[in-house]
Amino acid sequence: MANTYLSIKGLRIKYSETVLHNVFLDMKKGEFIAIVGKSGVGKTSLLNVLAELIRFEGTIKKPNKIGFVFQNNSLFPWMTVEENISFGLDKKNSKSIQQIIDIAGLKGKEKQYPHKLSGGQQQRVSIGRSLATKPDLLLLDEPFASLDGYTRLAMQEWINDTLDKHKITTILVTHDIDEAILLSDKILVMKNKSLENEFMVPFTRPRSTEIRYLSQFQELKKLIHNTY
Amino acid sequence: MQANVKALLFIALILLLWHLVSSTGFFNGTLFPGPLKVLDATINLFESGQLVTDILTSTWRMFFGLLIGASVGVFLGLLMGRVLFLEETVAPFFHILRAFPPVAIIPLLIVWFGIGDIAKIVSIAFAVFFPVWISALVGAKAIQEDFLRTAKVFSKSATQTFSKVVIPATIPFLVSGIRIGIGMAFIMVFVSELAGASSGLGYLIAYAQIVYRIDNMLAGLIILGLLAALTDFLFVKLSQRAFPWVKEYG
Repeated sequence: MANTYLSIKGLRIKYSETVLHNVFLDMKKGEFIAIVGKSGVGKTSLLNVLAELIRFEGTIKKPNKIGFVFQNNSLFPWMTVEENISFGLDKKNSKSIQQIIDIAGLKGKEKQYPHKLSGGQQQRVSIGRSLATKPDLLLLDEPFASLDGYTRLAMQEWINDTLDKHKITTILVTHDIDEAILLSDKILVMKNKSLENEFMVPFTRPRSTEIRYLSQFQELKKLIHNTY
Repeated sequence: MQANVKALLFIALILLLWHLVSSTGFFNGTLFPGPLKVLDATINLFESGQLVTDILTSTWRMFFGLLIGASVGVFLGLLMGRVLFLEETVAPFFHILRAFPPVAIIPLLIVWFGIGDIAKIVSIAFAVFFPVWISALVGAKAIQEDFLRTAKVFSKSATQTFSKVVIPATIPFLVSGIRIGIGMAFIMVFVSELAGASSGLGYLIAYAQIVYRIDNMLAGLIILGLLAALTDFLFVKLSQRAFPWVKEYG
């Protein structure tokens, strides 16, 4: 594929037992894909490979700058919002840090420590920390899993809006099919330690969380669910 | 009611009970002096200048012992907590040393360093080292894997990861370890001054026992206790100011 931005061919991870095998994936620049599947099928391992956190066999062509948002935000409790956001930067640029703080809707909270923030705000700092480095590829590992339903919806709206504006190539791992349809352009189902099924999301951008009530949304959800 | 008011009221209650029991006449006033007599003895010791000298002497011995023991403990604990080879090689030896009662090494230190300040400071440092070392070691091993993964994802070097992630992540453990160390330092400053000293609160208490001045003994013990509590209080206040993100200081 000529305009392939990310390419994974024949990926395999094996320790005492196989974690992933025969994984193939191609991604275009600016694309947002979601990987869904049951717990323990290897979704997070795939992200760990892309972030070079674990060893693998196979061929991967990927951009250099990776942003990774972990499930439990992993903010450093000893750093303020501002310090956490600038953690990945080699040189502190107060203007660009302020821009990220504005995007994350955390103006006025620059000097606060993470434990003073709500779950949603903490996760926005975590995503902001990755966005600050201007990543070529953003990896989101169940970023909203620990949030309550209302905050989760608000965060989904926020991430849709933010990533639409900045056109960042993104891979989201989630076990929430609603979230996958709401946010991504393409959904891949991970099963039997490999990526087995692919579904295109037919909704145009920008999207509202209201699309969840459309019959087309529910049908797609059912279709994906049946492949689990 | 505020916590510190409750604590002060409890202390007042203890003093009152002590006063009542000592004034009944059941006990020998020389062997069991009341709080007013102990207060009197404290004022006399203070006015003679002896108490101030003893407090200052014990405090600086304690301070240097604590500083040396805690610094070495933090350094080696963090290092062993992050370098498996060092932990596997050196930690078992330290665990054997840790089992030595710190008091038991004082005679050896006196033989090696004489009865001067060095033996006392080394014995305090020895006692402080182990709780701080083990706290730092456990803290460095207990760092959340996500913190280290985050540093790796953001391409931080080993030195940057150590200074920006490992050290701050272990702060709560270090604070706890040093607080235990402060307690150990006060025990050791007292014990090390019981023999082979000519000043210090330990010496004051030991001398008061020889001359049968129980009021001076109690005055010395109370001052030592207050000094230990004050040091811990100041250390916690300083830690709260320096590390406001630590949720619980106890």
